Amino acid sequence: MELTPTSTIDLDDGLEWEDIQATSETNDLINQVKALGDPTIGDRKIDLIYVKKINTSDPFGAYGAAVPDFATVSPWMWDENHTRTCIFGSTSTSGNFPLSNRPFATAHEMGHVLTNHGHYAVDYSMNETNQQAFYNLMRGGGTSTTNSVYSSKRLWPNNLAEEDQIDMIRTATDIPQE
Amino acid sequence: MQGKLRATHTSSNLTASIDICPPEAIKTVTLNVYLMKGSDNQTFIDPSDVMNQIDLAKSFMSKRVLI
Repeated sequence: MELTPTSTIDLDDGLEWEDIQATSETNDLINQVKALGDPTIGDRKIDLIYVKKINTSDPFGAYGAAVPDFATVSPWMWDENHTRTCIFGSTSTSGNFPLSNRPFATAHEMGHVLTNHGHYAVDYSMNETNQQAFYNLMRGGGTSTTNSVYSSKRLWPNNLAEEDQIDMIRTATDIPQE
Repeated sequence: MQGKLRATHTSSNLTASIDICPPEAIKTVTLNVYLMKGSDNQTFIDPSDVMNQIDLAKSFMSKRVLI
């Protein structure tokens, strides 16, 4: 749905974002969204919020950001009620490239929530030795800019990686299986 | 091991329902999509761009990319 931000949020110059602890603007935005929606869905829902751009101190910028369940645990300081949220810029932080330049951005940020994990081969326990990270949906440093057979769109089962991302999606959150 | 992700959505309300379907079970996730507006009362992104991204997540995961 289209949504006008509350008066404390100014998205014209981008959303102010920090990974470790939510800025007041991010808190206000997520509060506004979490107050909406069908409460009967409960833990099954993931909120996807699309803003103009994400202003981050990360020198590489960001097209998207996620608040998985683990973000409430130290050193992260996120409100538990704000988890299972993904935020996207319509452009890169620099404003030079559109979100369409990163066609897997939405799937990638959803992947953080569903696996309740960070970036593949960075925040996983295994060592990366065979370039599997390059093709993984959850790789760090940005997803592929085009959709091809070589794109970063794989999730590995345990015969290809020490940590089974399919199993993570099954079990890493309390989103129920049927 | 095979798995796939199914998604359906209606462009009118921008809500997507995704079933993640490994062989053993189905996990249904509802995506609530919010397109924020600027001071000009316009959204920052075209809704079709958003649905393209969700459709892509659906399509590549249903083509045995989750293997």
